[in-house]
Amino acid sequence: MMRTKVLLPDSGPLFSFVSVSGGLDLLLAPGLPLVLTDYIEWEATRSGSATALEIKSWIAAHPNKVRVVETELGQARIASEVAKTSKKVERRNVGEVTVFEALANGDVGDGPFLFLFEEDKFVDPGFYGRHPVHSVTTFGFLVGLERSGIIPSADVILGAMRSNGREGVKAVILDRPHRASREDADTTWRP
Amino acid sequence: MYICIASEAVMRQFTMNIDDALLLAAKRHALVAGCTMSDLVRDLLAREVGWSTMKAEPPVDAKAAAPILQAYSCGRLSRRQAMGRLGLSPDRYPEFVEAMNRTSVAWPTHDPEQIEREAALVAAAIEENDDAD
Repeated sequence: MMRTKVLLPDSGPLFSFVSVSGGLDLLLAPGLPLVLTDYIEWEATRSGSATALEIKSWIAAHPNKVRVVETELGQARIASEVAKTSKKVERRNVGEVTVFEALANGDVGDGPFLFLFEEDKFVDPGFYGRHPVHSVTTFGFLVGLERSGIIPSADVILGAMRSNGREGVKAVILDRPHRASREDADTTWRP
Repeated sequence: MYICIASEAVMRQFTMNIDDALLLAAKRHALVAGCTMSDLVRDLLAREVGWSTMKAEPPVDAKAAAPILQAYSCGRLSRRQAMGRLGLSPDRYPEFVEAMNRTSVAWPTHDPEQIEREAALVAAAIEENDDAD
């Protein structure tokens, strides 16, 4: 049976997870390999802000679990952004396209693949033909962790992501007792 | 030989050991580049570790932001699109959160069925991974 790889075609989830203390580790909590492209890493770390440095350190601290794939487009885009020759509007969907390039070139290996987006994004399951490709949102991912008994509550983590640290929640990874279903259909948290 | 970098009041003094020849070459380089040794070392360090001086950005103007945040709330804009229209780069997510909460615009709700489908995919991937171990 092939091991599913979690792919990040967008830096958005990184910023959501890093906003919760210990949140980035939740991305690795399922035990699935996490793959991002050079451009996604660049997008998440280029500002040099404290948040960007935290993400950079976290990626560097997990070389066996987080894989950064070099892409032709990513390298070209990074070079042009460093040289300040690219227009901001041209950045749209660059991360996504670099993931497609890496997949098409076989640089990510075999699937199945789980695309993690911040919000709804349709990925054609037959896009590559060879392996199933699915997309999940940050909240869907969290609920999946909750259902698998990895975290006690997806709502609490989402609430922390939306409270800018005011909730002061530290991401908790449980010892995975079985929890067959989710009691609440939707998040109960409101600002 | 050692260099003492003691520049602006807000910056911390830092001492380092360096070869005489390298120091001389570095001073010559700084002279040609029209900068100080402190500037030179600071720039090199910043580039190496990926650090940059973050300028204080003005807070998001609530009145101007409201229609954009509402569009995000209703699902007409993605978070990235909304942040882009507010002039916020993706790493400024905390400011976006602050603007959402300050203006009391409701966060987007999720389609329960879709979330259930997504959660099932994640849970299945975890279970298969556990079985494979």
